[in-house]
Amino acid sequence: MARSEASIWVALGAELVIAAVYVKLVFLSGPAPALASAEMAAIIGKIIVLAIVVTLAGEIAFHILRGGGDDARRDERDRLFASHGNRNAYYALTAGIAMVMAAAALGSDHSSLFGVTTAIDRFVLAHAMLALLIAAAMVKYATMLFHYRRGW
Amino acid sequence: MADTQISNTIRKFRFMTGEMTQADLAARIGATRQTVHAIEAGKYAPSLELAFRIARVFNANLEDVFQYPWPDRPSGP
Repeated sequence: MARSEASIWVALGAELVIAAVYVKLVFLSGPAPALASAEMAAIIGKIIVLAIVVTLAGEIAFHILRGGGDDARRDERDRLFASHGNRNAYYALTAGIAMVMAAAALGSDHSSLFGVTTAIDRFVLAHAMLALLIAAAMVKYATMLFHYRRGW
Repeated sequence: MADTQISNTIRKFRFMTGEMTQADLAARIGATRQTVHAIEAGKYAPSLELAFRIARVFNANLEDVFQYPWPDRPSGP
């Protein structure tokens, strides 16, 4: 496995760990904190530190396991796979944003028509956007790993 | 991304140059061994620049190393 592919596995794993920890801290540890609060700032600070630690630990672990070796560079094939990943992530992000915008518009203008309150408050909107960013990153990594595993 | 129609004789050239390894070739053209493997297996079509670099390593012309099918090629004048 080339270093570039291993880095994607590390990034994907780190993303999953970070997302899981965030969900636990914000949603599963009592009432969710307000967006503009010291508690939320502390959580974001912890998440940033965790992201750095997990990514570095993953890279170091991979380096030790494979014992150094060849192919530390990125070449045109790696860049091609990255561009395909970015393209698919863009599609996913665009589709997700369109859905959130539609939900926000319908919620503010037509909630009474449906007889339910569908207005999206700032907390939900912020977390919907965050989930979209994470999903887009997952799509990018999954696309790249698919290409690498396929052997192209 | 489908497999390419471009075929190649990299394996033959590697054999002719003292059984050069894929890793050696990769190092000389500035690519990864996995990329050389994918090119050699016909799964990845290299850029023109990388194709020229590969041909230069073997001191060969581009079309000696890479071939592209031309079924409707007109006969000569």
